[in-house]
Amino acid sequence: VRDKGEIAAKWRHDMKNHLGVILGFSEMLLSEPGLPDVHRQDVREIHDAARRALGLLESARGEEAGG
Amino acid sequence: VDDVAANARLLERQLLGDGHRVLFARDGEEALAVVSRDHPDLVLLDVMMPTLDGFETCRRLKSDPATRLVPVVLVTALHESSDRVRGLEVGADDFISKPVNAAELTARVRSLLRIKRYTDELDSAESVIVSLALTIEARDASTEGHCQRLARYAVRLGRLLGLDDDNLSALARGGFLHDIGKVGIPDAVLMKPGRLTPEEFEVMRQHTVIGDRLCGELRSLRRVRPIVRHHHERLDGSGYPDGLRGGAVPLLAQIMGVVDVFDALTTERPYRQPMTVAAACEELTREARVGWRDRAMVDAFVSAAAEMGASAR
Repeated sequence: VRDKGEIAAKWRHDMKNHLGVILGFSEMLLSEPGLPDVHRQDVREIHDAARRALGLLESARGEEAGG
Repeated sequence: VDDVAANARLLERQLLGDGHRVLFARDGEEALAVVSRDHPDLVLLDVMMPTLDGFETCRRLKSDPATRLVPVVLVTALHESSDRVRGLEVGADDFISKPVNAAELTARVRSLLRIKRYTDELDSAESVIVSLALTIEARDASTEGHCQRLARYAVRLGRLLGLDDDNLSALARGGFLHDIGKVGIPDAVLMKPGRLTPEEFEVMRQHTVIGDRLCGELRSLRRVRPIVRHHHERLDGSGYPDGLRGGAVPLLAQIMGVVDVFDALTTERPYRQPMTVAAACEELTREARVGWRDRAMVDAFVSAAAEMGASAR
C-alpha cells in the first residue's frame, strides 16, 4: 500500500508532464513567424493558462511540504 | 524515451528544427533495444516510467561497453537533489528539467553531440590500431587466437594481483596490441621456421620499439604503451629493448611477459609441439628462479593456470 504523499507526488508528476506538453507545443506555435495575430492571441492564452496551472502545482507542493 | 507519447512528440518537434533525426521508445526495455540496434548519438531519457525506469535504463546503458559512450540526458520533472545525485551515480551525462525549454534543449543537445563526435574519432583511431593488430596475428597461422587468449590471461592474472578496473582494461587492450610493432618486421624474419640468426633477432627485437611509437599519438592508449614496449624485459636486466631491471619494469608489462611466455609454450609452433600446462608452469617457475620474473606473480599465475590452459583449447 502506497502512502498519501507518494500518490500525491505521482499525481503532480503526471500533471506536470501534461502541462509541459501544452506549454511546449504552444511555445513552438508562438515561435512560428507566420502565425496570424488573431491566432497568436489565442495560443498565448493557452500558454499563459498552462503556465499559471504549473505555478499552482508548484505552490501546492510548497504548502504540502510546509504543513 | 518517454512513456507519454505527446512528450516524445514535443521533444521531436523541438529538435527537428535543428536538423536531428529522432527515434522513439516507449519504455526502458524498448530504449535498450533501439540503442543497440540503431546506435543513436544521444539518448534523451524520461525518468519516471513503468517497469524499467530512467535510472535503471541509464545504468544498463552505461555498464554495457557497446553503449557506454553514448551520452544520456535525463529529462525529468523531479527537482530533488537526491534525484540528481542518483542520476549521476548511474552515469547520466546531463539533466534537463520538465517542462523542457526549447532553447535550452537544443543548446545542450548540440554541446553533447560535439563531445560525442570527439570520442567517436578517438574510438575509431583505436579500432584501426586493434584491426591492425589482428591483421598481424593473421599473417602467422600459428599465432591464431593468441591476442584474444593473452588479453584473457592477462586480465585474469591482473585480477588475482588485485589491480583496479583501469589497469585491467589496459591489460585487455595490451593483450591485443602488445605485438603491434610486428607490422614493421619483414616476413622473412617474422615467419622464419626455426632459430633466428643474431642479426635477425636484432631486427625482431625492434617490434617493441616500433609498437610503442605506433601507440604514441593516442592519449587513450597511454597505459597500454608501457606494455607494448616492455613486455620482453626481464627483471635481471637481460631483456629488451631497454634492459630495465627489477621494479623499473612496469608491472603491467611484467604481467604481459608472463602470460605471453605461457601462451607461446602451450600452443603449437612450426618447430615444436605444444607443451603441457604443467610443463609450461615449470618453465615459468624456472624463469622466476633465475631472476627473470617476479616469483609471487608467477606463483599466482601457476595457481590459476590449469583452469586457464583448459579454457584455451
